[in-house]
Amino acid sequence: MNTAPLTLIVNGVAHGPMTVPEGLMLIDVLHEYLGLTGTRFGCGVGACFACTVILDEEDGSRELRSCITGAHQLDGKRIRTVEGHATRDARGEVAALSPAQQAFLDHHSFQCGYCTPGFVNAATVLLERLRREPVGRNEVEPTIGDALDHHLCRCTGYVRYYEAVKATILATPGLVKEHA
Amino acid sequence: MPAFVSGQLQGGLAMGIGHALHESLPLYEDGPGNGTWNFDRYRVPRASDCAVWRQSGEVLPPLSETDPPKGMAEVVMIPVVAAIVNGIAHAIGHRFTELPVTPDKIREVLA
Repeated sequence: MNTAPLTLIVNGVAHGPMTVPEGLMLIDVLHEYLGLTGTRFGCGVGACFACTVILDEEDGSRELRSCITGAHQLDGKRIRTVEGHATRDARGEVAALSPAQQAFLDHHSFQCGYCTPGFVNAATVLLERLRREPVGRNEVEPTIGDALDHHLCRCTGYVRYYEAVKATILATPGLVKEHA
Repeated sequence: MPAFVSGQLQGGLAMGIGHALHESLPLYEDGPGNGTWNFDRYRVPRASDCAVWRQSGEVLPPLSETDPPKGMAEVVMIPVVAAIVNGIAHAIGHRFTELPVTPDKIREVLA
C-alpha cells in the first residue's frame, strides 16, 4: 500500500506529518489516526451530509464532506470537527457549548443524533457567513433552507433543527440587517 | 416532554411524506439486500419537502380517565399517507393505489 505524509490542523491543533495510506478519506483519518470519532459516517457517497466537517480558509468557513474527500487533498489545511466547537477549561473539560450546539439541545432538535454533527457544522458555517454577510429579517427562513436542506434527518422531521437555527440567528446581534 | 412529543409528530409527518411520495425499494434480488441501495437512490424527505415553517400538530385530550394512550412516532405517519393520496385524488381526479405517488406517475395519468 502506498503511503504519503499528511499534516492537518484539526480544531486548532497541528497533527503530523503522519504516514497515511494514499486515497484514505478524511473521515478515516479523523477516526483512526486522530481518535476523533464524533464525525459520523453515513452513506459514504456524499449524499446525506452526516459526515460534514468545516474547512477553514482565508475567505471563511465552508462545509466539507469528509466521507468523499481524500485526506491528502487537505494536506496543511485547517479542519474543524464537532469535537472542536465547545469551549474547554484548563483541564480540557467542556465548559460551554457553541451557540449552535446549545440551541440544538435547548430545542430538542435531534433524537438519535446521527445527523447532529453534520447539522452542528452546517449551522456553524451559516452563522459565520451571516456574521460577514447579514441577511434581511424576511430572508432568514429561506436562507436557513438553502444552507441546511441537503442534510438528511430521519427522526425529527427537521422542524426543531430549523427553529433552533432561526432562534439563534435572531438572538445574535449582527446576523440580521435591521433595516432591510 | 411536550418537545419530544412534537418532535415525534414532526418526524412522523416527514416519514409519512416519504412513504406517500418518495420512498420505494423493490422486492427480491434487486432490493435492499443487493448492497447497491443508498441515499443517492433511496430518496427520503428533505426539509424542503416538509413545510418546516408552517406545520402544526394538535394532541387531543383523552376521551375519559381510562382512555388508553394512542402511541406516537410511527403511528403519526398512518393518516399522513392517506391524507396526501386523498389530496392528490381531489386535485387530479385519479386515485392511486400504489405508493409512492411520483411526479412521473401523476404525469402519466394527466397525459
